[in-house]
Amino acid sequence: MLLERATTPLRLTELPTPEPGPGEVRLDVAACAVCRTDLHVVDGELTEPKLPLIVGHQIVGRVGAIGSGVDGLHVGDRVGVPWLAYVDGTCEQCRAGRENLCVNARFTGYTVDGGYAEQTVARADACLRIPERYSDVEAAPLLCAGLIGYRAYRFTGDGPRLGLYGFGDAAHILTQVARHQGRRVFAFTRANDAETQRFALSLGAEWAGDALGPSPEPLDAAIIFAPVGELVPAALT
Amino acid sequence: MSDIPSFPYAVLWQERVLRSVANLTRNDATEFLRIAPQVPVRTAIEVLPLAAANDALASLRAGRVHGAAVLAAR
Repeated sequence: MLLERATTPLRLTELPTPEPGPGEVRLDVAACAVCRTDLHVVDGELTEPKLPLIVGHQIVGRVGAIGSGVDGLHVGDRVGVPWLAYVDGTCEQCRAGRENLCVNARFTGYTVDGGYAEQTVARADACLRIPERYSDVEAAPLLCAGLIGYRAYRFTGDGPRLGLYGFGDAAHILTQVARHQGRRVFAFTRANDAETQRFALSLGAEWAGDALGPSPEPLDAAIIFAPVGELVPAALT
Repeated sequence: MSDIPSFPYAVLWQERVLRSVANLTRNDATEFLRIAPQVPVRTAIEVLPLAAANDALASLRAGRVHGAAVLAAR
């Protein structure tokens, strides 16, 4: 599925089989989860995509071919590919342990082709092992909703009362992690979205309500997932 | 993405911290993929065929997805 221009629908098309270069593998894609960031790419809110582009950065697939210089991966291995496609490993940010801010980073499904496809190519050192208990389609949302959500979660400290603003793919995963760690989860959704509020409660949130209304208790920390500016002061007050 | 409206300075008193999070590190990935099966995290998914990618994006935009939409290649 190809994005040829921002704000236009993806187009189903046939492309040549991609060949892995040095340090890369070709994957037979089994599943690719859909992320809100994909919407930002398609809508042109992320302004520097490779075009034409295969969107998608929560890829689960099996190694189908291996480029030169790749160690540790074999044909048939199941791997996941996340948003971070490449880092240079040498810039100031990388050397300080902040490869997420690498000045030469490339991003799957944004500046390199991603996973809305039957086959794709990824750097071997970006590939992740997928825990065996998950099927391909179950594992795919772990790769962004889970991973980047978890990065945000780690910054929330250890206070017991955690607010989650915008209850989508990331919040539904983090609620389970937070409950497992004994924290109390307060889920904030769009106004009157009873279905999402029920969903949050079913996953262990102890309260669910409207995002712009008052919190039932002061929160120790909050994560805002929805790209809505007015949630920032709402979450702080 | 919409702008953040102004708010009283006092909201940030008591050393409250407001920060953004960008991307991920491979350490984040390894740590989360170790923890997820221990919880165990169960993902709520709606599976669609790859060719329905535009429908999946439209559902997400409309807030109709509970959990995550996943495209299956075959």
